[in-house]
Amino acid sequence: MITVTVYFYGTLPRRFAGYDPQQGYTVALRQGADISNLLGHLGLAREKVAPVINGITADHCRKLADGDRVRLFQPVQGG
Amino acid sequence: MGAKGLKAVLVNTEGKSPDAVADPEAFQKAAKTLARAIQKNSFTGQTLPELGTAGLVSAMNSLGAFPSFNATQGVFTGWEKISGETMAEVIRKRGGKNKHRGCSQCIIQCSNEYVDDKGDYMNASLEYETIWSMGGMTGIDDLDTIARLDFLCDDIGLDTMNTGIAMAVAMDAGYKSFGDARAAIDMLEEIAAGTEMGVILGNGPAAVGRHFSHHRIPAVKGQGIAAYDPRGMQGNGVTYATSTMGADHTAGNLIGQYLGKQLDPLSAEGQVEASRSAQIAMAALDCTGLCMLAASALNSPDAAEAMVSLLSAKTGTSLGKDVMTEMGKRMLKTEREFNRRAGITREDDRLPRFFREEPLPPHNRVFLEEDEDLDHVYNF
Repeated sequence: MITVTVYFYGTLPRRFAGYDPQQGYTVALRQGADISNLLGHLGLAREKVAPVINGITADHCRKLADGDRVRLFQPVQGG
Repeated sequence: MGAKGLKAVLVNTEGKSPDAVADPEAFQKAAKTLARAIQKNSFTGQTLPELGTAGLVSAMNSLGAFPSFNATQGVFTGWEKISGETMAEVIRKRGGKNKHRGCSQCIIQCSNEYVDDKGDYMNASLEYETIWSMGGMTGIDDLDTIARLDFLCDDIGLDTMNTGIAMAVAMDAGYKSFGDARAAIDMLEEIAAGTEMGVILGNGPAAVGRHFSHHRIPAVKGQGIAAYDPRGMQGNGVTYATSTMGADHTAGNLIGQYLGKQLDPLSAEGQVEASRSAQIAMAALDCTGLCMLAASALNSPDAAEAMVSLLSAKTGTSLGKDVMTEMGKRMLKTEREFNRRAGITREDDRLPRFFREEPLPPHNRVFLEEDEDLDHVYNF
């Protein structure tokens, strides 16, 4: 198993009861899991969500490593 | 216009007939389709009403392209304290308004009313660009101070973006320290008082840079940049360099494509084409008067078609699907010609040198686009 920490932004945080923006949301996944597995686990598979890891927008097929911090954003435009 | 001594433009509406719509029924039908698309779009229908434009603070810091401490860092230490999520929570707890109809008849209502810890009004509205210029650029990580600076700018009659950058350049040059909230308020009050330094600050970042002989002036054609660093978002740099208005993010912002992974923000590849398309689209949009945030919903085919129907119904002309592109190109060519006659040349379509020479952490990139590529942006 691997453990990743997820941070939610936009209107996503309120969909996860007890979510603490300081601590993030800890998710345990099987070894070899990717972003799409993570989104499926979170119930976000059917939504447009942009995952950012280490400052780079990640593909949904990107494999996750133990200890990864994943930031999840909804689509935005300029403001 | 300020340089010509123009103080105001008055429009006498006496005798003006109501704005004519050639086909009111078709106009209303198209407007309803567009309104539905705006409400269905997650950005215009959910994020903006809840967080306003401030929702961009988290995204831009997470992507490492939030110009901070006068564009020397791409991530602002303490950005979580000034993020849209934090702002919305503070407003909610204090009894302010997270949703506010700042613009007449608006169905998005992305504006807000920020209040102090006693629930008393501080300012409206706290926006992304202001949080950046008065916060990230000056090193101030306190929303209450930023709200106060925003109020003072509104009260004095200053643009928060250029004023924040002007203060950041002054801080970078050693006039004051980054993060010094009292110094930032004092600088604004100097502008209001019209002191010698206040006049320099009030003339914007380029004037401040010249005064201190400081090389790091994040401005193009005298216009300060916005909250997207061109080294972390190369295409926004192309827009800053080549826009007829100077470093104006509203002229062609590519954040949506970067976050959506349609374009690599750190590579030179595809940026000129993307900026060109965005600039054409935004120029057309500006002609229609539709808000640029509402226009985010035009990504859907139904909404794009409704926009053409709307213009056709308004003008009584059957317009083709390329009308927006054609209008945008015509507008940009007109603006370019205006600039040419005003003495602005391709040498002005350049970013300041430091963007090419000083890598921006955390990605440690410089601006990569070649000058000759910038010269091809308007090849249409």
